[in-house]
Amino acid sequence: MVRYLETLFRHRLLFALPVAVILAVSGGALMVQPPIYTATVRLWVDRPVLGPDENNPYLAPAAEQASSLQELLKTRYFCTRVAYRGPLADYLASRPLPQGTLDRLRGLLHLGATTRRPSAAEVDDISYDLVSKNVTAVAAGPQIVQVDVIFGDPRVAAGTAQAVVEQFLEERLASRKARAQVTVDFYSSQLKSAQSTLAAADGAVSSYLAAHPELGAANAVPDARLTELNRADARARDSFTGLSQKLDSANLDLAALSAPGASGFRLLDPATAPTRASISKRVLVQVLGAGLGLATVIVVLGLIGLTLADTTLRRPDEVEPALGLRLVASTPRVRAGAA
Amino acid sequence: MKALETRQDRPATPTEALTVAEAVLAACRNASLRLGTPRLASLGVTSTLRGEGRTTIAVGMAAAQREAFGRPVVLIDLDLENPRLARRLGRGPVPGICEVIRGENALSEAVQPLDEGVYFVPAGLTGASVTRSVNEVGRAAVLAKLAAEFGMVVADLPPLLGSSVGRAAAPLVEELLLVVRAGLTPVARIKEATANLPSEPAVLLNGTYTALPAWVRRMVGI
Repeated sequence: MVRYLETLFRHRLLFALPVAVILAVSGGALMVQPPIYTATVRLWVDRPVLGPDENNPYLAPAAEQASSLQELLKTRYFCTRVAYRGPLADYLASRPLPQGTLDRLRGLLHLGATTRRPSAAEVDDISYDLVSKNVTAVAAGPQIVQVDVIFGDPRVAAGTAQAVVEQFLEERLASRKARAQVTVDFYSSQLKSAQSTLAAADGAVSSYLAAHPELGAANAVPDARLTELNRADARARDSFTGLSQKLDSANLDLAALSAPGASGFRLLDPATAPTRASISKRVLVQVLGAGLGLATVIVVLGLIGLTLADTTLRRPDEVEPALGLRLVASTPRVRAGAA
Repeated sequence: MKALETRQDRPATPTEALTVAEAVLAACRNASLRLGTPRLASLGVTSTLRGEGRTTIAVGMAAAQREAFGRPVVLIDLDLENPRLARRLGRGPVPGICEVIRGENALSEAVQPLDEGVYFVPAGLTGASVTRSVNEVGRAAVLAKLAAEFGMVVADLPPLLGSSVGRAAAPLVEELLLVVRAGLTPVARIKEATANLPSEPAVLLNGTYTALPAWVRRMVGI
């Protein structure tokens, strides 16, 4: 341990040099990185005024919606829809395919690098990759969802941010509408069945009264069969009434989802093209991390190599174990003219 | 005696003779105590390679004998291939030990007083064969005669690997002190040099140095 420390401090300039060079190269690599722009959209999320409320009562509305949006951003379906809804897909389709290292090298050597435009499938792939990695959705407060889109073109960043929000609202509304429609359909079929049951019960009472006209008199003796038929009719009517109310409610919910503002979402800050460029934090971390990692590896390997290569004796306590000879004294290094 | 190190690339003035840094002198005192030099008639200072501080330590050992133990001491330059001690001490290179073994001068004529109780015998001018000269020194028992007449002999020997006669000169002395330059000589070379010597040498580690800052030394406890 002491020997390694000795090597490190003895050759401190030698070890500092690669670290400084690597950090300088990392800094240079960061400087030549293309600038990026961040477009932000903020959305007010509230519980719906009308219609069904399927929100988790224990979560803030913004947290719940941000979580849903994050899930959607992991899907290829949502990402490609966003790309085609906004300007991203057109932007990607109008530019040559991003070059790989080999292509860049060929371009530098004038060997004819690939400059073809991407196909539709490749646009989808790139869109999915970009949207899923460069769009973040967070709850900025209990009721505000913030969507950030990072891209190299400010106009595309803003358009994509807007498209993310619009697509998300559309997905949420479509999902709610589908559920409301299912409810309406269910109650409609139930109501139809209840209606026929009620009609049958009414028919049975009428038939029985027609067969026994004396029971229609005001002072008629109560008839057990008629009483039973009346009760069944009353039950069928109650059931019909209940289902009818539920169907009305479901229809109202469905209608509410189509009404503007009733969905509980409101766009506070629409996307605008950002004017200030920055460096990607991810790239910054990657470049600096790689630089520091490489510098550390070089220093450690150099330290081990130099220490193992040094087979000389440096400290008095090394003499006897190394040589098996008796040490009688040691003198410190004395510079010429030292007293 | 002033504790100043004499540069080897210029001749010393007579007042600089036997002057070494205080730290070197202290280390030589310690080495003398551990070697038990008061009972020794001769001590040879050698090294594995040239440039390890052999001559400085030889001068320091001679100074330590006189200062610490009050013994008369004779410093003799037996590095016949590359004698530097006379220049370092600011003394004439002849007559020296080579002239004595060739019979050109008497032993007493080659002995030069340096200080009170401190004498110096230069290497002199070597003849055709350095090896033969070294063997003659042994045969003529020059060191024993010097010890008997003047006091303890401290010999500046040639390096064990850096000279053709280094190993041949080692048996001439009673005790061998091997100077090892810290951070310079590989262990393998030291082992190669000390293998099959007639007696096991004691080691003096010369020029130790740490690059660690004080706070690191405190942290690791050294």
